[in-house]
Amino acid sequence: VIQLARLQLRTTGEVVVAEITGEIDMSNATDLRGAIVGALTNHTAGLVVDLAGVTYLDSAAIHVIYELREQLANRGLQLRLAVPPEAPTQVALRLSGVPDAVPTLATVAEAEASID
Amino acid sequence: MHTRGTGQVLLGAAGEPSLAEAGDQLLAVYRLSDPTLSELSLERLLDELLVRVQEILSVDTAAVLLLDPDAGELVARAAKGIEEEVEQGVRIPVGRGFAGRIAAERTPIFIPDVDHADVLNPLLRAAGIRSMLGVPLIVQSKVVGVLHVGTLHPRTFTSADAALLQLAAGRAAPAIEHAQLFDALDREHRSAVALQRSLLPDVLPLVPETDVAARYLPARDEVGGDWYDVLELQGSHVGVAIGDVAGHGVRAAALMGQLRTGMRAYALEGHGPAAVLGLLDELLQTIRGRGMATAAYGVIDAETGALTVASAGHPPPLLVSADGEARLLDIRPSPPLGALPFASFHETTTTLAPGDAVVLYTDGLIELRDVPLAETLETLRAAAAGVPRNAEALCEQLLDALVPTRAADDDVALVALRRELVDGALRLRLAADPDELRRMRRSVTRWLRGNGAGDEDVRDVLLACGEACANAVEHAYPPGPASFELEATIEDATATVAVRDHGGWRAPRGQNRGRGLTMMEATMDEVEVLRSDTGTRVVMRRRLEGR
Repeated sequence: VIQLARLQLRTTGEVVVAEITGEIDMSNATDLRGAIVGALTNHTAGLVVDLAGVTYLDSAAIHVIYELREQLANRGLQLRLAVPPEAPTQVALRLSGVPDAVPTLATVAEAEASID
Repeated sequence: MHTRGTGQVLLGAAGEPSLAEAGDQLLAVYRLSDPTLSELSLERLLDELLVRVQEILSVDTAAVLLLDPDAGELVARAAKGIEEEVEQGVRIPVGRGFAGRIAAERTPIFIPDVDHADVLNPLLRAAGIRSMLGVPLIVQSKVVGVLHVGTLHPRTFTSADAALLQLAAGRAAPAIEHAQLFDALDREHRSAVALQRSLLPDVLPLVPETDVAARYLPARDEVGGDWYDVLELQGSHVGVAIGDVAGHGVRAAALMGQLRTGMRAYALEGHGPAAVLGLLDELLQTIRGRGMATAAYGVIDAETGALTVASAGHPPPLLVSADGEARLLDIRPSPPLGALPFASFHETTTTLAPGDAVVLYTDGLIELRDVPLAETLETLRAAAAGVPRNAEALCEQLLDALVPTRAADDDVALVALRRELVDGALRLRLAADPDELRRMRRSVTRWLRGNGAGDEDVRDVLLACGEACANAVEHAYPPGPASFELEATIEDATATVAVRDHGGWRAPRGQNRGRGLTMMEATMDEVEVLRSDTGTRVVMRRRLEGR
């Protein structure tokens, strides 16, 4: 059975970029969060979650984004989302107020640059 | 014959026997060389032989130890009078102690007084045995074990006693060797069959809108190298594979395992059928003592029915249409895997309409020997004709016609995949398991597309269905299997989706579930949540815009 989603993590300087491709639902959302949080170190200043390659996400994924926001805030880290304006996930994100709660940029480069 | 222990001399035959004694001896000889003994199983043969030895030689104990050549030890296998020896699995190193020396020196040994001899087995002393006589069990100049007898009183065994004991040993030895050989073969066969089984998928994936079934029949005598596989690929694609490694036995089964895994890996990477076979061919070149295999791999788009197949020397796929017409797919032949350097593989495409099925099989199904290929293929085609209810039934129908005994000389593998008929409504029964949500989304997407939905329609309805179904999964109370149903219907371009679970209603917990309801209401024109003691029913409607 193919993976519902793939996660690729890379660290550039003090920024961790988590690129997710595929679909996120209640079957894998918590595992993805665990894997992403595991990549954060004492040297991390910020995290970019790249959702450009995500074709579907539901409220379980939204919940994880809010959890990440809280976890990172507690550690003094910054969270950014990279979501292109035409992404199929925009509707779900907007309906649940994500762009108002987490800085959401069109590209990973812009998201990375916005971390200080 | 050697004499051990106190140095007492073994006596020769004590004078001429009387006529009565001669008659007794003749009977003894007959009883120990009785040919009917060889018809018994090894266990019963040893048992019976030891009883006769005990009677004829008037001894208190009799035992057989068999050589375990790997360990270089004798293992107690059957005993009379000292049964503990077998129960405790006494093991004696070859070359040491009484029995060990008999095996090492390949000669009978007599011990007049156990108390003064080198006897290793504590059970013999504990049993109060005083005198012992033992002979080697030899088959084709190979020692396979030791037969020994003992008495609780001091006794001087004669060379006539030794001769009788050797006669019994001569009767037992070939049966032992035969049984051991058989055991070893049987063990190898069983482990090869177990290996083969472990290399085949135990459960086929549940693929939306396609009905899949497979069969594997091991060969009557030997394991073969047949395999099949079904893989869920990206999007609405399904991979189906079959293969047959040349040869039999553990090596063929092991190579089959390597090829099946290789094929899975290449297929999951997203390579098409011809590319998968090409890569598999290259992989086979790197495997030591590599061998050859035929294989076919096909990819079906469950949404459109497009089927692309490539074959490496494998018999052509069988197509069965929804109305029961059967034909063989006209494929461009390519060489078997591992047969030619720089082989190239070709793809053939066709379309499966809803209700159509494709069957991949190995040549064990059609027993290619002695009959012209065209004729066997015609038999196969005829066997497939008729309207199959589903993939399982199609497999059964083919086996009933071609391998009615379910036991063939060659192993048989077949896998059938049928595109399901879709009517206006979609009905799904899903397990209350988060992993079922993806399956639901695949099915709903296909159903929506088939009913003229556009990208936005699909995105929105899918989101609403996802939330409703996630609710149903969460409502299901463990323990015990729980399921829920989704029913989608269309009328006047308006889609109605009803999701019904059987759990007790729980108020939305936290922000998460509240968010779910918000999403459902925002993406659908109408959302109704009906709660009752027996479960919750969510009914949602949306006009499909075709955008």
